[in-house]
Amino acid sequence: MDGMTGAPAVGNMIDDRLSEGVFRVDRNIYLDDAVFQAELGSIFEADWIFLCHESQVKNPGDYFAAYLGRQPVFVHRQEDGSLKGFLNACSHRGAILTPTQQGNAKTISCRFHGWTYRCDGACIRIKEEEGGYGENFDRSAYDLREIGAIDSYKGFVFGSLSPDIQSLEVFLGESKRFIDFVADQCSPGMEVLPGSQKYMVGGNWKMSTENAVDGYHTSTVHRVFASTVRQREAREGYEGMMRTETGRLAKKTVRNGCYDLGQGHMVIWAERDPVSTSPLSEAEERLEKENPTGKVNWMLRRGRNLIIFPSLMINDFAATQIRTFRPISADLTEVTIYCLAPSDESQEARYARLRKFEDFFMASGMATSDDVVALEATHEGSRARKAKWGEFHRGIGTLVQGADDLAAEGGFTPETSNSSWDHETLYYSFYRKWRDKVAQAWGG
Amino acid sequence: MYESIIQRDLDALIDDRVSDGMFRVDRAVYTDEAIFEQEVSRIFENCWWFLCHESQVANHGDYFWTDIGDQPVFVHRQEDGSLKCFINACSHRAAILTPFKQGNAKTLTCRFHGWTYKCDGACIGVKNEEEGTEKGKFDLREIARLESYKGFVFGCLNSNICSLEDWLGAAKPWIDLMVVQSPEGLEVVPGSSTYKTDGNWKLQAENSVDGYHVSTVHRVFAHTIAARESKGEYTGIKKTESGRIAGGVPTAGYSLGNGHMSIWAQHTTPEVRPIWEAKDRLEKELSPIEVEWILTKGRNLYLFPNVMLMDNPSTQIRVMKPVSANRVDITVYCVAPKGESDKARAGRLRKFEDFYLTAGMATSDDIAALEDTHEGSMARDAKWSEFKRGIRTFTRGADDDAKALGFEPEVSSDNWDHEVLYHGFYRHWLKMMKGEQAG
Repeated sequence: MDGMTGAPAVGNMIDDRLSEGVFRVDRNIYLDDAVFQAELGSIFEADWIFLCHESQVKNPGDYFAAYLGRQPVFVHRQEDGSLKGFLNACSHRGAILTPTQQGNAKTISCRFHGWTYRCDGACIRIKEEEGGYGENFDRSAYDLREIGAIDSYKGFVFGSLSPDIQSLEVFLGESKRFIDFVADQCSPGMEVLPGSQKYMVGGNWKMSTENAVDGYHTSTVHRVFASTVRQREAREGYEGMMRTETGRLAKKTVRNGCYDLGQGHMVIWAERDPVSTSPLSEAEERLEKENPTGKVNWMLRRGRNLIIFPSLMINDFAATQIRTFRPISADLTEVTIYCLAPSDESQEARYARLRKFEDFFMASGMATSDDVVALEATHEGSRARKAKWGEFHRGIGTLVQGADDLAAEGGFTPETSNSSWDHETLYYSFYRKWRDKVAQAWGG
Repeated sequence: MYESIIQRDLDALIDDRVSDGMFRVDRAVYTDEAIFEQEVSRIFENCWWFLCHESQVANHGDYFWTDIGDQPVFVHRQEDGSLKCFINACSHRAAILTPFKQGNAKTLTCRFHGWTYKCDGACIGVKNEEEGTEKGKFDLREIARLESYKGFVFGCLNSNICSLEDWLGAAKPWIDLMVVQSPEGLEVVPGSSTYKTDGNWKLQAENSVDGYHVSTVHRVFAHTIAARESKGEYTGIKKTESGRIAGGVPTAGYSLGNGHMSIWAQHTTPEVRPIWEAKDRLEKELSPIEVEWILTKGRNLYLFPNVMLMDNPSTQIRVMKPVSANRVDITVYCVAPKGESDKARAGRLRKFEDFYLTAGMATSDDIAALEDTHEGSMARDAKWSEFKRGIRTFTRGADDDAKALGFEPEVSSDNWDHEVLYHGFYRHWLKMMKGEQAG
């Protein structure tokens, strides 16, 4: 932590003067431990946070462990097919209940003292119960504690520690259409493929969130990725959907843009060039039959990076990805990535999707590793407190209030549109919502 | 945003309503860093703190480096056979003076600028000393109190504390049961193992006298031992008593006052214990009740706040060094009666390795359970950990076994599954946290 900011200062940390052409944030928002504690309390432990995809908890008894801020929780699929979310702590002495990150257990027994809970959270066994508590003992007082709210939208499961919260659909708002563009790619449903990767970034979580919808860095940070892939494709064996479309990275040969979707959700997009590189291109005919062409343009013909406030990224560019950011401290973020795919795609498409996922998104791949370096350098540079402000005013002159022509064909109404994914206007509602949440936590 | 609970109300952390059948502890006591900082200043620096065993500093010049809370100190054996303990920091620029954890040095020379101190702490060498330097001003700083009880050495940074014997109180007979096993006393066997646990030190304290977890956490240990012994390669002293793990044997737990706690379980096969070879001698030297306790009751003793003495499958001193709210470093030593046979010593060491080493089959499972419990305690919305097993059946004062041996616990419980012994621990903890009791 690089110094403590008093509670009243948060309003001054976002310098929001659009009419004067200024939008900037005090870099202390990335460093200050008091800010971090406030974010945990008012955002990560109060608002809707992504937990898992329904395909990860498909069958009765399937569980998935996650975090809401600092608090460990788990999602458990019920006998009747519904989902419940519980605090991941034994009612007796607090031990984590799930033996692994993900698994199947119709009942869960605590490995410490053997207390057992049914799938629905009911405490059904206390080891040596008779010798411990005397008469009129009420075991149900030890049922697991459910989290405040759990709901899912098209397979994406969110939870909140607070029961006093707007509905998930209202929370998602205009971002729902962008979830649809992924979720509707296949009628049997999308599935998270087995395997995941976790890596730590020595930087603030908000930088990871920003980076996920930052088109401006790609031609610098991912230049080496683009030239490496291009060289590789000059050799045999990389054709059709095995190719990686790199037009978006190297040159401005394709149309692109960005949207501020409101409520802190945001998206960047770029035309695919060519579309045949997408594993989804094999389904083009079917998609056209099932959907209006405007929607197919968004599903297939444009790559998209979506951020759902505050820390979920759904990516459909080189491959399809779910990426989550878990804040550990102001200076440390745990990132988890999963490959998401249409469950009925061909083996060829699946193969291409996985290889491209590895190329770009894995920590051992050729692009994410460069992002991590850039983010850590930015976090470190933010410690130069005399250089106070991070600027977000690229594109402030070309900002369009509401929808542009392409938003209409996708059926969504953004807060603002902009004509280049280089632009930084999409971050405004994110930082306004963030400011209001932190101010709320500080009672001011 | 969570403000630290300590700023609000320490009493609210311990919900102590035994007459209503309730005793529970706010899990923030494990996870809150502000609480930890106050533990360092109010508890660790104000009570008797285990430092080492006298056998680890047997001869003139022997030193032993450890910590009280987060302050490094070392014990040094003097020329006259007495012990002194100093803050382990050169008077010049504070470098640690002891080159090793444990060693022998009649004088200690700082490796930074070469200042030298005699065994008694006197500064006797200042490199390139100027004329007229009063070296006496730079003598090492002794800690406020140092006492030992039958070989176990304790120190305190605060002079305003009762005698060590008063502090140990009802725990003394439990220490005695280990000490009297040899007329020559005990010795710490060479070697130690240090491991870190990502969890609060109080979880480790609880666990050391928690009989309830044994049949769950150490089930695999018991199975493994049973499978090994069924092959017939392990006989006599090589066998491991596992009745206590399977259950169904008499057990008990005690709150001994000043935060000390203990449990025992009846051994079903006392003849596999290393001390069994001394049965005839013990029967001559000691009372029948002492012999019964030594040979047939496996015992775990926790001395508030930082040391555990175990006499169960093997004999152990386990020392805690709390590092932060979410980390405690633990060092284990095998302690043994001097003069036991090679066969008994080998049996003792093998059983020590089996159970107590991190590379062994039991402690590793404990660590996993404690780390899971610390992480689960981060689910702050599930606020309370209850300690109410046995709350309706415990005995105030001594049970028959305690009376027979001659110690006076605060409470006795006839089952080591019970949790009433922790009430005394947390009451004492709260008193010290509030500054109401020095030591």
